[in-house]
Amino acid sequence: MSQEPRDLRAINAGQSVADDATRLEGLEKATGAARYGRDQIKKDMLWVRLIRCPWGRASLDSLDRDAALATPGVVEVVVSGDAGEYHGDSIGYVVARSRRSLERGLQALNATWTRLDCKTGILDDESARGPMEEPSDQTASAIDDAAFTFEATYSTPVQTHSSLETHGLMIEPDGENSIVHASTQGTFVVADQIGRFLGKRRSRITVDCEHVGGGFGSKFQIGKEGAAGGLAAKSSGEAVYSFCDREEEHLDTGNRPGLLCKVRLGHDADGTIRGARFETFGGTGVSSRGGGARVPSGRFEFGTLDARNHRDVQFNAGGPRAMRAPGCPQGAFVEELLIDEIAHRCGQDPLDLRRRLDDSDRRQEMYDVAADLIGWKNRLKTGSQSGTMRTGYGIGTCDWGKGRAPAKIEVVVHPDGHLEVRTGTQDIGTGQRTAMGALVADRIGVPLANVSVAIGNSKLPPGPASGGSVCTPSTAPAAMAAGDLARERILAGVAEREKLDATTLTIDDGVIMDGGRKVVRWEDACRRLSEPVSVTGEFDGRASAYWGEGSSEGVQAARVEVDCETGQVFVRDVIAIQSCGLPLVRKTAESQIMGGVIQGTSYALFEEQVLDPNTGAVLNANLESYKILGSEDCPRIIPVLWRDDQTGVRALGEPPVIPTAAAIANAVFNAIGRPVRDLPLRPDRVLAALAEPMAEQVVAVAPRTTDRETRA
Amino acid sequence: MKDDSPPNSGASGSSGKRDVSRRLFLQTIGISAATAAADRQSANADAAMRPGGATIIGPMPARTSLNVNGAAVDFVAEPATTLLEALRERCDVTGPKEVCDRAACGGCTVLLDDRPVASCMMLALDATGREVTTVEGIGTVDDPDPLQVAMAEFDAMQCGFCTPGVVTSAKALLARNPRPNIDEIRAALSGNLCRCGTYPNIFNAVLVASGQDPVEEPTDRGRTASGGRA
Repeated sequence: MSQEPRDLRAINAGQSVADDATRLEGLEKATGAARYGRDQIKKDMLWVRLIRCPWGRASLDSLDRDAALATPGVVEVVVSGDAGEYHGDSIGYVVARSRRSLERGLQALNATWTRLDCKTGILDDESARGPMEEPSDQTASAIDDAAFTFEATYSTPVQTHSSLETHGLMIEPDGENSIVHASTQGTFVVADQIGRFLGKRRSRITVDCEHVGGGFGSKFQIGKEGAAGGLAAKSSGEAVYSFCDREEEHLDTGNRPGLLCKVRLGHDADGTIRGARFETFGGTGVSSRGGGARVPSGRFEFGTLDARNHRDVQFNAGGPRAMRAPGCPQGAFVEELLIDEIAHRCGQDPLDLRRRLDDSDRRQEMYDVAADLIGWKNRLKTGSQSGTMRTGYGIGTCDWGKGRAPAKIEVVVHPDGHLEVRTGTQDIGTGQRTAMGALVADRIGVPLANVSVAIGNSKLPPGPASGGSVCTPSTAPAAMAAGDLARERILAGVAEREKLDATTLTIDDGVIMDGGRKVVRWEDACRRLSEPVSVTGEFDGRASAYWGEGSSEGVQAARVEVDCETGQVFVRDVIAIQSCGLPLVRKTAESQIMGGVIQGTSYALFEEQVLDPNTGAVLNANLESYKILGSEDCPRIIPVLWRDDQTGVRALGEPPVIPTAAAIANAVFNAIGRPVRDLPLRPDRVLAALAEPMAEQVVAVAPRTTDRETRA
Repeated sequence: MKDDSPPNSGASGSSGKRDVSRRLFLQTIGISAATAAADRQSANADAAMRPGGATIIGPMPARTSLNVNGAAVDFVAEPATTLLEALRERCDVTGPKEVCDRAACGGCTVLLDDRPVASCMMLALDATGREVTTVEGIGTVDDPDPLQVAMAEFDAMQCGFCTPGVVTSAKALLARNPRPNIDEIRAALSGNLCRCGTYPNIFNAVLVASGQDPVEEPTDRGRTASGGRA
């Protein structure tokens, strides 16, 4: 960073419930001891693979089922269709005794297809290609009343989740019961869904997902691979392993849909926006819905608005699924770049314009801190640089709702003082396990070392799926309640034995105190228990004392360098300020923010599913051709936990991924003086933008609209 | 042991030509375009098939012996079995992960005589006579390597699926360069993809495991944040 080195120790210290706690399963993960669904490999299990369409649209001509069945090791071939509507669409599945016999069986099947005409993108839709519709009368007159009119079109690519553990499950028979090891974001969703295929009642099914190798919104359903696995387990009665391979993962397990957004707006010389019309087109592949984008977001004042003019465009590709803040990063890219373009047209600092258009008090403070930490004072006027390497600064923002769902947490106090926290919800890497353990330890007043957490099993107390960033906010009130109940139980026993008033007793770092006097150690108090004591905290999904106050808001600032000879964009620094109510575990919370920034940077620079317009085949269905950010592309990131005096636990998983691509696009605009209105910010696009004239300015000198100087 | 090993197994021969990799296997049967290098290696493979050469292995399942984390493991598998498949499906060693199955992600990284390799791109037979070390062999929960302790301490993981490969690559880096700087760490880990986004914490874990100060830890106790590439 261009400013002087500074001691950043204070930034996040003291902001969380557990500042120094480390991820409870950290060593298990670092030593390979953690077993994921995909690691549940038995010597004599059956392997399942779907039969998939190789083209954008095709009809099946022939298929040699007998030859496949005659292949040694193949036990079942199920064919249920004769046409495919997208590359990766399935028409059945093969079950075999080994990976090799499965591969040979699929070869022997020798499926031949006739390729049919197909659509491959949003622009196959006529209205997407055509001009904007006229705004409503009200909006049209607001736009006409403004001094200047501005019109532009933006687009974002299809992004695939690319969880490193592919989708799927392993089903193990256990007498009359079945154990389902799933890679899922919803323990209880799998328990609800798999029974139909397994032919078993839910009471006979145990779902285990103790460790999950990534889930960014696509792992809520059991999917076709799960259904086929269930059916194969039912018909064979044997253990079944049904996981996608990497190609299938890119083709048929969902994506963040592409967006095309047309905007027309009217603005005044000071950047005030009087009225705007947004038209959005979302690519939904063969799905009929799910292409929506949140634009405008509501964070900025756009005057009289024509919004929600959305159209889902279908074509021959796998459909979208929720992906980390669905609709939001693409919407933020459009909205934030638009604001920077307006600021430039009016000769204004885009941070100043944001301060005027944004009515969130919390973000107003965040803007100052972000500007300070990124070194905004070093930002040069947009388009003022020459030379090969040009530096740019950009800002993006986010917010998130306050969703919640019912949850239960059980705490078992053992006679040796050990606390067992039991929760069926999953930890997909968010740190949910550690957050629950740390919260219970904090409520009781004992070190985290006293606590273990059993998680990710449908026989444990229920809770929500990891979606909408509601999991931690919903389980936290239950964990607080359970911790308080356990504490009260033990203190009541101590008070009775010691003839003390339980209400005056406290627990401080594992020692029960009466005023300033040490009464007994936690372990010694628990030793009096004749058997483990179980208490359950419950959150009913509505407001409670434990729900508290808080909101999720954020501001990110990026510094980039652009190589104007090659068109490459290097993201150097990202400041990511995020509120999430009461942060629980500092390290895992920082990791969540950092992860959002890294995925957002990856989205900004690299990620893009490419369909062959002639055949509809996905051309980059693996990680060597579908690029995600690697260690050498990683910016320096400063995650800032913004607590204020918030008491309730709020969303953290999704919001930090929203502003990053927007901030980077703005920084590139600042560096080169031309907006790149299509993600990803590929070198060819940067070079094409550089060949264009400098972005227009309609107001020569900035009117002084604020006396607030960017702080040094 | 050596007598039983196939002539193309890498138990002998010059380095650089000694691996009949899975890539080569595919090239040999004509799936990928041949390159000059591959042509050279194909000639090697062909030699192995000629009558009069030493033992011919396959196509039927063959006895394979591996040395995994210091223990000898024997199993019968088709010669086309990759080292990754052998570890996960025959040896019950599931630390190395199958992610891309084509050496694009590093999730399956293991040490072969201290050299990091993508175990998905190598036949199990080619590991005969070599020492295979996986993340499990670097340290355990009860007796972790300092690198593994630092990984946990710096929260250098989220879902953890890339972590075994990351630890293995980083361990190999530290073996050849005991005090790497951040750019050397970035380069050494450039083959290991992490989707959750934990790279900065990984860099710090490697720095601290090699006795250096973390440079990119924003909230580090008393350090200054002076890292980042220029």
